[in-house]
Amino acid sequence: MIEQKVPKLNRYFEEQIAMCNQRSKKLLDDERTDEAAFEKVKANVYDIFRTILSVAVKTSKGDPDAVRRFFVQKTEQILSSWVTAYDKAKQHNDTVKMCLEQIKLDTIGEIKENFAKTWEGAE
Amino acid sequence: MTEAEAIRLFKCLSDKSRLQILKSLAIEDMYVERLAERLGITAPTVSFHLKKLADAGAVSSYKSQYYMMYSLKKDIFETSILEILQEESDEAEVQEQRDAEYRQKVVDAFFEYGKLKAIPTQRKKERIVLEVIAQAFEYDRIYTEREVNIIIADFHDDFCTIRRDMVGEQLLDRDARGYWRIKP
Repeated sequence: MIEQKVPKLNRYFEEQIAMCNQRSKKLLDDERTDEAAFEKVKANVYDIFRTILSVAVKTSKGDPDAVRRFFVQKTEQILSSWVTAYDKAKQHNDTVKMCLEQIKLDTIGEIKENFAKTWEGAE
Repeated sequence: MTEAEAIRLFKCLSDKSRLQILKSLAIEDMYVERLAERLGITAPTVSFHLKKLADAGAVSSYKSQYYMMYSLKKDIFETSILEILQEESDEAEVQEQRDAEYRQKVVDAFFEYGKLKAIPTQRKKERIVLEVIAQAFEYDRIYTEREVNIIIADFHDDFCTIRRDMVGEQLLDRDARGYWRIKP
């Protein structure tokens, strides 16, 4: 049921963003600025996918399959460009960029898994 | 140690995780996974911090069997803060450093792994970008237009605009024989 899945996913994104912000604040208080920025990066990734979900819902006019297709397609597109960015960084031995891209890849992986679980699981 | 080096080092040290890495390395040389385990942070995060510490001149690395070992660059830490403060910096040197930093910032923003991401719209920034590209040309050599295009295309697809702007900025000159790099 799309009426249950979408709010559940929105709650998941909001909770993750809140947790990232909390951890970021804690890390900042602990004088770990770069690691605090990593949490902000994660929060931004969740926020991007929250937006994608809301666009998917708006454009698909209540069709759950269309929502899933839109969300999965966008996720794969973004994932592919981030994999390229990571590979490029690795090729140039850019440890700093690699670390940031790895965080984005880990987060998108988690989002993919959660989306699949929520979308398929509720059916 | 120059002012810029001191600032980079101090900025780098103002992070708890990095300080803890240095504290660990003060005991003995270590590899990434060992530091990660010891400090309770992930290995990629440790690598990230080590790169920053290496750039600031605080650590060095060497290969030992299968591991890349990291060690504290003790000579850096033997410099007293008073010595750094007493180091004189003349205004021209400071200005030169500022210019170099600005230049580096522009280069970092517009180039990624040697490729030009976009042609800057601001003339001052474009000049810097074109100067970087000009370094790919040798002095005292005549290039055909095709050769010029191929060299520029290594940086950006829009070689026509860049070639024209390099002539406009007097980095390259041309006549019937071809193009050449102008000496500053």
